[in-house]
Amino acid sequence: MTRARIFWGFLISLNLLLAGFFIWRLQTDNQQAFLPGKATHGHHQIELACEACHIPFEGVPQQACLDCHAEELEIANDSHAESVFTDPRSLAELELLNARLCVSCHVEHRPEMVTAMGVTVPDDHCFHCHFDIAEQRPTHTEMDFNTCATAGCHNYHDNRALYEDFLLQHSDEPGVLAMPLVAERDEPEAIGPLLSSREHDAPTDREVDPALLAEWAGTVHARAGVNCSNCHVGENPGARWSDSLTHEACESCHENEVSGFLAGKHGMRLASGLSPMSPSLARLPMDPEATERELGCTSCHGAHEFDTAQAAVDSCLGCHADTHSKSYKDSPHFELWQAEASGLGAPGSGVSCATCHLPRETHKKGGDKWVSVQHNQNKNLQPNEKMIRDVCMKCHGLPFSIDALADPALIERNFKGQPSRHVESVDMAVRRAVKNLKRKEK
Amino acid sequence: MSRSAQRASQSTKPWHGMEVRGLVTAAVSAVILVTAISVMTIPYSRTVRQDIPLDILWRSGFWQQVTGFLLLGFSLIGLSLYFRKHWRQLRFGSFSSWRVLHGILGVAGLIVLVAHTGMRFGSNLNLALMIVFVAANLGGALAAAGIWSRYQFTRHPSHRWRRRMVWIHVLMLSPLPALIALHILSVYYF
Repeated sequence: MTRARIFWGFLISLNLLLAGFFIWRLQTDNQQAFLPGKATHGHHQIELACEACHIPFEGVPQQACLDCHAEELEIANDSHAESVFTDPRSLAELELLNARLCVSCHVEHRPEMVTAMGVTVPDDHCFHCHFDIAEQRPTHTEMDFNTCATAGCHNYHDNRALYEDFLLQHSDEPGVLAMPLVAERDEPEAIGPLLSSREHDAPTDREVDPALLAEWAGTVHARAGVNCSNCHVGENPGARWSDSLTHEACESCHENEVSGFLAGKHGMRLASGLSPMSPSLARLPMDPEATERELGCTSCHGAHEFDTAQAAVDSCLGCHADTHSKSYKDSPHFELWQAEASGLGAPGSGVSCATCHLPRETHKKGGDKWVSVQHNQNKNLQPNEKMIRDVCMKCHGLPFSIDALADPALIERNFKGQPSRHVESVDMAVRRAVKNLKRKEK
Repeated sequence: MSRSAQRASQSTKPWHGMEVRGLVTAAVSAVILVTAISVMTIPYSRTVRQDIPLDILWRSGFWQQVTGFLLLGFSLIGLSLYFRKHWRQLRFGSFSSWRVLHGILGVAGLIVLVAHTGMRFGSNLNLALMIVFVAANLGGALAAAGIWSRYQFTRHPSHRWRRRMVWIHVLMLSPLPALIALHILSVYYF
């Protein structure tokens, strides 16, 4: 065989092998070989669920973003919704930055491009459209465009706690409100009479640990008539007893909670058909002893005790080991939590991890009113001003809340102490209102 | 004329100074560019208020395609050296001139690579492609050095070394067709 033939044989074989390997990977569930770079903090859990965002040969359609974020943006009354840009006069600005598409500002797999909030355009992108803001608002003359969203003044999407009328309405609120309480959770609707441990309906041929039965008998499940078979067998006809349960078993009664869990950072892998989220996959610092845990409903609530107090603090601290989390037990919020737990504090006065990150939401429909726990912690996480209206302002005034959330050191200390910086937005709104009033009086 | 006779006559032909300078300049430029690509990254701009928005090369899908296909074009034209050597129909111009053109295309390819990637290597498939592409260009520069020394020091026993360098260059290039094709496929697939 000539040297040329050997070379060509090698060249063709090598290229066929390479192409074969990559194309085989394209057909499998693990397409990591094609991953061009790490995904942002918001999507890294599902970066290997390519089809969650990509459609083959069509890229990332806008609908893929909206499938997960549309409801959130609607609730936030998105300041830059697509409808804002339907005016033909917007076309020139859209040429510079097509703000109608999420991927114009949120490009994935380019870690070097990413700034805060998963944004991949420069911080001063507001300049494209608001370059003449100083003419309209002389108070903004000295402000740089890269401070619009970083100074606690504006958000691109969610300005519910930051718009001018709202700032004025709450401008004179104190640091701590007169009645700093969060809504109490409703007692769940019973599906049957109160059950005792002797009334369990586990199969007679199974050896049941009395400790588990005792745990169950002390829970709200037993009080609401939820027996072993309701979870371990379920309601599907022909279903058989199963020892290990997934979130699907909880979903039949706790649909909203499971839906929130699947939409948040803890459950989004399960929602995308991947293995459960685990601390070992997290980018935040986690307890080294917790790395092998897998997240599901029972990882926080326990398998039989379903202790919501434990789920609200201890379960979180069992994994999360960042400075903010580790500072919690040294914070005034924890003191309030302990006071409520010991009966010294009023119901709803304690502040747990869940109070802020899995907040209680009050719903009203017709004459009905109920409280549920939002299990999608991503809903109010970033930008943190999203937390102001639904969480902070249950106990604190707006000016204090804005200042506190704009102080990274205070957040690290888990709000032990006072804000060291002051955001002027409320003062500016008040000054402008006074000025307008004086002008009218003249 | 037999191939060995051709080689003998080629090696005894006077090598024009311009061609030497061309090949050496291309090799040195390639080494400088490869070193820069390996150790540096052009950061993304932190402002939209730029006189020359260089960032558009890495942010815009259109410009990514322009530079990407330009790079593919340079790579394909660069391959013509092989065909000049083995196809009778292409035997116009001296082989050394073709080699200089090959070197210039290599350097141009590296410059377009900078425009295409911003000197970022990426991950997985893109990382493999970048490493192979950059290494192949470095191999080309070493081969050029071997060729230059062969003509510069006639008594230098560098013939074998030159051949080895050329082979290393060729071997480094060998996975490129599949990697480039897969890279293009992945861009349009995802």
